[in-house]
Amino acid sequence: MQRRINLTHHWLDKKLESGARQVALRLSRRSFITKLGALLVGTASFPLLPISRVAAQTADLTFEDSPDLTGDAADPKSCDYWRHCAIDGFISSCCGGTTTSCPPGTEMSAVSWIGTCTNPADGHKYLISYNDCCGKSPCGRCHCNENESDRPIYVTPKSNDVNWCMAAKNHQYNSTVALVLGIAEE
Amino acid sequence: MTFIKLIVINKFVCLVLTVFSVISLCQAQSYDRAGKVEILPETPGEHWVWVGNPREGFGLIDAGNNTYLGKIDTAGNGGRPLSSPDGREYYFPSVYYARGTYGERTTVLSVYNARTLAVEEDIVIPSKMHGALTPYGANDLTDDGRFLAVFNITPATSISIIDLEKRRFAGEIETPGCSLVYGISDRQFMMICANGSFQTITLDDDGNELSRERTDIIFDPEVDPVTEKPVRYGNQLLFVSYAGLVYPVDISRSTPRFGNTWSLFDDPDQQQQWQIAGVQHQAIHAQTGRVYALMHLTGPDSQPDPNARGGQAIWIFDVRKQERIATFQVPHHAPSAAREALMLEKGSFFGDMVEQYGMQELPNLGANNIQLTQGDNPLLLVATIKPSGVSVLDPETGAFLYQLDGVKGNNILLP
Repeated sequence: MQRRINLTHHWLDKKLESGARQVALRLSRRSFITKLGALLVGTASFPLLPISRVAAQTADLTFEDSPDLTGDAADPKSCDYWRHCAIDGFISSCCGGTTTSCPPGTEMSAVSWIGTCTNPADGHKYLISYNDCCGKSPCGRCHCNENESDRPIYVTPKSNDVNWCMAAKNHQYNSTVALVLGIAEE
Repeated sequence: MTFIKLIVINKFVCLVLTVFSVISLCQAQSYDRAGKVEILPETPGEHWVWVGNPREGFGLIDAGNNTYLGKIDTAGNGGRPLSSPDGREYYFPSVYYARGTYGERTTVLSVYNARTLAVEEDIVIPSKMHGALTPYGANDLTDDGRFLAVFNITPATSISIIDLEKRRFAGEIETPGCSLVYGISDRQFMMICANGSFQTITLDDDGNELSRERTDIIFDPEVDPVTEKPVRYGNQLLFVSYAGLVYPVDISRSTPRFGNTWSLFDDPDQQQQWQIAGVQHQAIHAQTGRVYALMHLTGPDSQPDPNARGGQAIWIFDVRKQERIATFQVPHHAPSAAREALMLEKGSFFGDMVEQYGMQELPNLGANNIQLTQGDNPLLLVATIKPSGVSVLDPETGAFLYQLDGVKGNNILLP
């Protein structure tokens, strides 16, 4: 019975992960959540799933901050860095990683939650994926608790209070990155 | 015999008597022996509280006489210690790695002896347990203490059921779309669902799912979600929303029923000026039906998430009348923390000067946790994170009584 549950979870997770990834790359967070919400109300058998980190990391490899950014909004180690409007945890940049990479020896979480932050350089809102870096004890440096549009734990894709290392090999939380997925539609 | 000889003999006899007296005293004196270990009394004290978190463990403290009684070691990111109804055992689900921070992962429900605080037994459960900020909803007991549920998220959601009578993992129940667990009867757990409804899982006597029921949508999670931290008032759970709306739910029957909501705020202006605040933002003294709520004064830097806001005030509500009856100030821990940081003695000239200056100049970031002990002589406990500390207040007047010695601000939970 346990094996059957695990297989079902695995199949469901893979199906929904793939679907969620495609949807998030095309849509704004608001419309993304709206669609997931409709899916949830209508068909309660599907659990909510946030974005996979694979496409997210690919999307952020070419995104560079504008040189027009100044002050804390331009500092990746600051809680007021423009991407950190909804980050809750230790900043990977302070822990041996960067804004888009995890510290040595950790594993980037396969699931995360999505926030929307305004880039002051161009005034656009961007979808930010807050993937956790897993597998080591908490970094303890540069803790931020920003919560724009954060929701309680039971609204899982919108909660930064959940341990997003839940699907990693090692569930220990070390730090968090902030990956730009794309521009959020109005 | 000459006089001198008599004196000498007398002196010798006195000396001998003195020596024997000393030896007698020495024989009456007892010394310490190694190996003694304290055992807690059979009946928990009315002012006992747990203070801590899963990662660092939980200290058991008698808040009534400011005494640290002992601790249980725990591991992982979620959960709170639970007590058997007879008070003989405590339970906590911990996540362990074979080599401390890596290696094979095992999740166990540990059973602690309530008197020795030693682990008596570990029951292995699936390693899917949820880990998050809130101490509530990660695990809970049925009212009769027979079954314990642990909430899982992988991110698929489910609950693990442990049969405490048979000391075994009974099984896992999938709960797509719904999260967290709250025991509401001898065989039921309630869960909160992502679309704003609630789900009730009913178990049979073996811990398997007998039935489940879902309510209509009760609240809008996008507009005004309820927090995950209800308080229990008899056969009611009281959930509170981000905007301060109280959602009472009657759990006395097999199907929970939600009653009319009421607001913690008198008017919209007050609702703009104040917000609920804290990780543990409310506590209840069930005997008198009083709810104590942490309130944050809204400002330009106020966080949208109540967990991230400190409460500068405590509002007291009569649940039966649904109205506020009193307001207290939250203690300002920063002045005493500044004095300690400067290594000044409490009550000294410079120590008092620093504290007075601190009262005027240092910001009061507010409290993050609030708790009430139960019974006829309750105490109000308030924890702050910045700086870290736990204060004990008079729940009738809000008067500061004392700060718990050497206790860092953290979750405050009732055994």
